[in-house]
Amino acid sequence: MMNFKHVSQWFDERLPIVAHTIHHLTSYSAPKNLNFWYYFGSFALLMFVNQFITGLWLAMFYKPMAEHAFHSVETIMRDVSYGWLIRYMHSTGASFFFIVVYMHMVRGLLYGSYKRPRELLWIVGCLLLVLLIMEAFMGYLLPWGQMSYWGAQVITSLFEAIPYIGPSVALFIRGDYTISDVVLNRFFALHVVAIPFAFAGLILLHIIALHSVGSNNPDGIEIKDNLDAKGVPLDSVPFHPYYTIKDLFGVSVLLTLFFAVVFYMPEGGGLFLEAPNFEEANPMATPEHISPVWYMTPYYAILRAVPDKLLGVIAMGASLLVWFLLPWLDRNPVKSIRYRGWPHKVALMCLGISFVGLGILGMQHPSPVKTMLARIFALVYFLFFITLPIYSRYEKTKPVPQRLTSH
Amino acid sequence: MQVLFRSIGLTLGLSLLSCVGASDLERPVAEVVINRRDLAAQQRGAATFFQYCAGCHSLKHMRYTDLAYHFGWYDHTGGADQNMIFEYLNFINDNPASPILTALDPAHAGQWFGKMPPDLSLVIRSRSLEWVEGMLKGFYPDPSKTIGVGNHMFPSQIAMPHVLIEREGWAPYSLIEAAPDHDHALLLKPSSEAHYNQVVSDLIHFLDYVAEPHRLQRETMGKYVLLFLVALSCLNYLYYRSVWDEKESDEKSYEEGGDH
Repeated sequence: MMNFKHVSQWFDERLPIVAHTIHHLTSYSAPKNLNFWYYFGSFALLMFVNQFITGLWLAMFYKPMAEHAFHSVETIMRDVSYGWLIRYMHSTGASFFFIVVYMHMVRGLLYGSYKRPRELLWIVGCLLLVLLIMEAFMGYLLPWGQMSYWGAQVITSLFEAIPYIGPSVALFIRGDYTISDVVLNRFFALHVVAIPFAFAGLILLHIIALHSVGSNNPDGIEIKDNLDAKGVPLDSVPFHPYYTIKDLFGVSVLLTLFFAVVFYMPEGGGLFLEAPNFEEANPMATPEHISPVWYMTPYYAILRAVPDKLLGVIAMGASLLVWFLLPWLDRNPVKSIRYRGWPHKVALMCLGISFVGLGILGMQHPSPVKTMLARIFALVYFLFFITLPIYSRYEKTKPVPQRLTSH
Repeated sequence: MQVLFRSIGLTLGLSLLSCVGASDLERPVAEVVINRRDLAAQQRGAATFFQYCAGCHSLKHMRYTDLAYHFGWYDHTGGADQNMIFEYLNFINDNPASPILTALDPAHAGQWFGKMPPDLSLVIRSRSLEWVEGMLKGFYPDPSKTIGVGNHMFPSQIAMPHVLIEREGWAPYSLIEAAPDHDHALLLKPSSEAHYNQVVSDLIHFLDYVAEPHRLQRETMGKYVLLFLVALSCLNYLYYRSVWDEKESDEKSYEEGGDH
């Protein structure tokens, strides 16, 4: 008689995917003291799945044509059964994705997760951030509201600042001289096919890299240095059931917050769905105030803070690309902030203040005071990366323990 | 850990302070409170809309039949009551299942107002309750303007005449034009303020419904979903604690055993 065991055995002999996955879950040894900050990786995966599934359903009803796009979104909101729910889950999901990813990055900064031997893990993560920003930017054009249109107009025209080849590059990206039906169509293709594919592939690489080097932990020490007789790290627990259950709890709390926003404040106070985007794109009328969605405003504030357009674009690009260099900028072997010296603690705090400050300033109308503030914050932001290689070398650190200190 | 949270809190607090201190204070506007379950107000608002506004403004994301269902206008077959639709909403003999479009010809609109009056399906969401109220109550007589009125919400020029002029208790346009010295104070009848407030409030109730017809359904459904998720979180927490506590007590007894 065939039973489940036989079937799974038959499969595993030929295609060992199931066995491999189970193996990865049960025999992946995770440090036993992963804290609150370690929820955000699995949250990010959940948000990706949410965006993928709701996006698939939206694509069934959405029309990527300038003439129909705005109306088709409203049709989804009104005439499609529970279309409003799917759309709000997608729009709220975009903001939550960024919240979760930024928290995930804060974790990496606090505990030095970017350091040897996790440099490639960190770089794949940076690539994911860049892709996420591209994905969000292109997705934002699709509802074809006023802010969609003018935001895309501003950002694509930035490429024109590149000397000599700028206008050709901008033309190549848009496929047109201005934001139009052509641009909408290609952004739709990129948003639903190309970028999600690349994104999923990079997530896989991110997880493979993680599982080969192992998770970092709040103490920032390598648990693989202390193995038991079987070669299992002494300070570890199997990922399943210990972290699957912990993540399950975390996910249910995240979903509670997520659906509180979806059901009771889907506009996110005008941050997640902006008021001008409830007006159809009109190439003849510029909105009073153009600003990107909140998760892009730190970079946008840096762009505006620099008086010269080309230099501004370079600064904005650099503010994102500099993250790739972090593993080599930090010269201190101590990973966790628990054992780092005060210069690094102060520097991280300044980085945090300037990033949030830039984010808030990027949403607002510029004024002389705000521009000055943005310049100071931008300077502090870059100073973090410039001073890091210097102070981290001479920084006085606390002694790092041999084994994990707490649960 | 606590130090971390504190420093993050401090970070956020400082950045917020630094920015709030620098931000312009927006003009304070009294918050408009509406009751989204007030069907009667929405119906009165619809009546005002179709009498005064629908001649120029469309609600192209809304269908007549969907409005009828919302108002509870069913016929004996369970479909939308077409008599009610044609009596109160659809004065231009459109198909009852079609979107609410205006009969105004864009070419005429261009000649008369300079542009096509905007669709109002989403005006509450693209502006706000407060903005729409301020705009409807913001008219003042201004003989220097071609249409005889100005509006506080449009400092330079508003293309729209004060359509609700009589509902606000002003003298009709013809009288304003005829008044030799444009003594505008005389043309206002303050006693009718409460009446006009009611008209505007009803209109806002109606437009708010049109801007997001599923809002009540969303808020009702949200209660159950959140209740479920809160319960699930509690259960998952207990489960998570039980598994980890068991592990920790195992470890403890193992360590104690090791001492012997």
